[in-house]
Amino acid sequence: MVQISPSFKIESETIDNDHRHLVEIINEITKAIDDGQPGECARLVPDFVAFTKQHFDREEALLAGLSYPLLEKHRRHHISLDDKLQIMLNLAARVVEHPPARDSLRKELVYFLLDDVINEDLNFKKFLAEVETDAAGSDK
Amino acid sequence: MQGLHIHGIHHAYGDTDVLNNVSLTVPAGELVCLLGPSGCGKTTLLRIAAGLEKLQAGSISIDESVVAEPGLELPPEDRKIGFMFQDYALFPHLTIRDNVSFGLFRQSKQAARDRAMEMLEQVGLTRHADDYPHMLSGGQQQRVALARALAPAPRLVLLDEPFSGLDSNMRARIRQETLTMLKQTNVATLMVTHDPREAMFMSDRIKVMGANGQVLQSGRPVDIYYKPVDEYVARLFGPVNMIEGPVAGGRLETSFGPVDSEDIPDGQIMRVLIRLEGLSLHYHSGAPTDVPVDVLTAHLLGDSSIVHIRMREGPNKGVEYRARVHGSFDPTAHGQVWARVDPRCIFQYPNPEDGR
Amino acid sequence: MTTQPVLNPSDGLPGKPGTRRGNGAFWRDGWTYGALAIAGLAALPILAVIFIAFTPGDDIWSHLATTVLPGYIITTLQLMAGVGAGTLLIGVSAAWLITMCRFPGRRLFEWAMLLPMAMPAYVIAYVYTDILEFAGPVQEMLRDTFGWNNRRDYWFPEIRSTGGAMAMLTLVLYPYVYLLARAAFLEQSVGVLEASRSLGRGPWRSFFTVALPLARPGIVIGVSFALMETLNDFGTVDFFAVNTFTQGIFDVWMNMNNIAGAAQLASVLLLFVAVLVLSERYARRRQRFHHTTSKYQPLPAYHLGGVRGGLATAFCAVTVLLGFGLPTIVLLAYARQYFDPVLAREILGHAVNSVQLAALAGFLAMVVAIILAYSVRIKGGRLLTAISRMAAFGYAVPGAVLAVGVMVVLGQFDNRLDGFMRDSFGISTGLLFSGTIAAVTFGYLVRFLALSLGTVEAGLGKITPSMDGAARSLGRGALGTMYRIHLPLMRGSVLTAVLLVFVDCMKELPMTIILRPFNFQTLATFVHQYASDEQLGEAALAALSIVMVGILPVILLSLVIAKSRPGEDL
Repeated sequence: MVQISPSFKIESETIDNDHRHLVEIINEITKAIDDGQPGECARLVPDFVAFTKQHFDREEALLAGLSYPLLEKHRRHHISLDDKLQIMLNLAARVVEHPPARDSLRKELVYFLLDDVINEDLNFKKFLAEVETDAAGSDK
Repeated sequence: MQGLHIHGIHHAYGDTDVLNNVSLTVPAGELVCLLGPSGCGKTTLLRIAAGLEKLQAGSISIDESVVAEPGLELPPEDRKIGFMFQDYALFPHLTIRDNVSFGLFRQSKQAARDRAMEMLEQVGLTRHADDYPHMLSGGQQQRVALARALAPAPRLVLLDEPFSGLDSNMRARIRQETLTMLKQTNVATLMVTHDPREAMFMSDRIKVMGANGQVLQSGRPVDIYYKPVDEYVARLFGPVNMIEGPVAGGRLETSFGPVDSEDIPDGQIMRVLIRLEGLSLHYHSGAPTDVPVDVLTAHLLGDSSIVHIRMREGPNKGVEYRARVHGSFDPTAHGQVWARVDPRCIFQYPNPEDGR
Repeated sequence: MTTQPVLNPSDGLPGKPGTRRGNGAFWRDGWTYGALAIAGLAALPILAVIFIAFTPGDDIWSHLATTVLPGYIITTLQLMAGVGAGTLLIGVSAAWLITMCRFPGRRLFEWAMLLPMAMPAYVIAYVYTDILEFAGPVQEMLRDTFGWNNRRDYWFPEIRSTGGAMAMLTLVLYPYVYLLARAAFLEQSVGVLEASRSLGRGPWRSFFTVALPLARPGIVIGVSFALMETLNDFGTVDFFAVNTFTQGIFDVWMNMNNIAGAAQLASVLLLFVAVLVLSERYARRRQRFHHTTSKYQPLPAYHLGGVRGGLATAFCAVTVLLGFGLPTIVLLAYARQYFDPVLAREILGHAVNSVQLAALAGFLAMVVAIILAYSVRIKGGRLLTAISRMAAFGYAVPGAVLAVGVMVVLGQFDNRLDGFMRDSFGISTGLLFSGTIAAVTFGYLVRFLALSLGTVEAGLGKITPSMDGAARSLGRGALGTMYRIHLPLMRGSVLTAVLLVFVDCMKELPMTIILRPFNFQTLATFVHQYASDEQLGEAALAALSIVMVGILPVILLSLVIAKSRPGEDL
């Protein structure tokens, strides 16, 4: 079971919720693999991919609204992850017939979420925190 | 998450950046490899994770507890890690057994002794328990170093070029043994190497680092090999054939056929790289894309041969390329030879000197 | 630095796990503070000298400048020039002959050339004066042989002169140049010499155009050491009545009882020292670039046969004989002739004093050196490196200067303490440290710390840093690592460090004379006192003891030399 530990929190409700939802899907996929229901898992991966793309869009919109200076870089990073999403879809298509693909898929999902998504998102954690304190300051 | 989480490490010596916003995650039971040229800061990252080097910026947590961040620095002895050094750093004045039980001083003497012998049994060195390090061969010393690092059951293992001191036959064997032992203990492992093949063999995930201390690409070995993000990563795995030319009609015509290039506007120079093993040679044309070539020379390396070929026709007519083919190759045995490109081994990048 | 804003993933989380500061933290700061304190203490005497010299008081500076100062400067420069040239000539020639040529007795001379190091300059001065003065055996023999009656009948060089002092100092100080030149020649790649020969240069021209320039940094360091010892010398110049700075400091201090004047002279002397230290440091920096290879092959040997071989043997033999053999024989003869059980018992008492004092200083210097070297190792950084360099500066400062500084510092401290105790408690502590064993030990420590620090640093440097990393990552703290890894691995260096300081303390004269408690004698002060009164016979046994102790590091050095060149097999 994957859990988001404190060191992976962005401290932004929208983004953390998205990440949590991604974790939930991953855990469902893992459970399906463990329970010997690869078919279920093949169905869940496209959900994961679709939600990831929605998350990227939501995140980019949020950052654009706050004029995050490194938005373009982050967007390019999202685009570069397309290949990996495609790899996961390919793996998912094979999990039923090829048991080794199940383990690869599970691993790839975890690394993708922790290393490629959340680790990169942590780059703007401080920026978000500053924007928030500024906003709180001007309210008073 | 059990394992190692490093985020946002920056490190500089004077004005020189050696690590530039490096983040990585190693779940328990997994092995992640930092691959890069010497001097790219990868060993520094290992030393920062171990607490042997002072953290300048970023944060490190092991098994969900923060061990280093600005204002907090747990000394190495409190981090519960196992570090294996390039030179093994066995203590020359202690026996092999005392080396392995060195980190077990919080246990009773008997328990430490038993644990040390258990570890030595795992690496097959119980016979040498009372020997001193200088009496052992390089491969044996490496095993002792591994046993010593794993004996206190660390939460994280750090390996710094662990096989570089061994000759190539021994290296292949020790690599396999080490990997097996790490997977058995289910510990998170971060390894540093400059040898791409070693990284491919050992890792669940590779992080390729560039000379400026930045992570260039992260992914499974297969992604790094077949989908290198740029020319630098592509060239890590050895020599490549290179074709350059202006893009016309969204593609570059080569003697091996057209290469599509949607991202590059017409007229710009594009660079196409083909791995030597991406070219195969055949005595009969088996596919319509096969192209006829002249064979110039062949050099047998043992398991494969490097064959120099010259293009007979097409836009690159008369140009020489190299192919790596399986086994031996006799250029005088047959008449016409055909070359075929493995589409997974052909990469295209914009020419670095061409604008942008 | 291009460090970007730091992200802190665990900001604002309740109950951060694992945020305990490690208990290593205190120690790591403790190392820095310890090193700072040590360096501060070591620098105090030198700073005190400079401070006193520039404090306006009953200023005798103008008086000194017009009367004795020019004489001091000229004599000191003459002495330095003479000793510099002498040690350079003998040291480099011997080093070249012994490393590059083969002649009868070479292997013996390889270490025997070091023997004169065991001989304190003042001892050799007493011996040669005894032999060569008007009433001595040499002149007596000449008079008997040629039928001369008095001084006017013949010319004989006056030993008690600047020239005599040069000769004495050269004879015992050339081994510094020999050692470093030898090491420099050995480090040179055979290849560069062979390249020079193959390009058509003969052995002599190859020596002057290739080998000597490459060895220059090492030679400069050796000469600097010899000159530092020259400036430090008191016994010889005092006995020969040669007016150098050191002599002058004693004169102004002891006879004129003028501390400010002594400090002012000492400050000028420090300028000389500074020049020497700078040239040594400069040479050391250059040494790295002159290192031509790490591959050792047997050096080519020029076989010197016949007359040339005989000349080489004679040169080495005469040098060792003059610097060590002859004085030892004379001392042995005197020691037998003048042996007296009562005197011997007295000398034994002084020997006990010497040994206790030297052992104490050797041990303390070793402890201090370990603290300094270890804090540099675990904390690193330029600050600590600079601090440890500063703490080791005393090696270059003549004993007389340091003694003045130590007196000033301890005197001030004693007075302040006494005043404080009287004001607060009505107790007078008097002079607590001045004129005690503690004062002498402090002086020894400041002067000889560099010796033990250098040895400990070298020993520590041979232990790869990954050893520390391995021990630390296996859960041992800094102290535990030092105790379990470093100390066992550098036991030899630690013992050497104690020994080197021990031997130099046994020989030390100027500081001991100034700083010792009233009526306290060491072997060195005893020899000085008797020999100055022309009673060398009575002093011979004590002098011989000092020489015998001095041979210990020579043995040690020759062992190191024997191992220094793997692959040399001749």
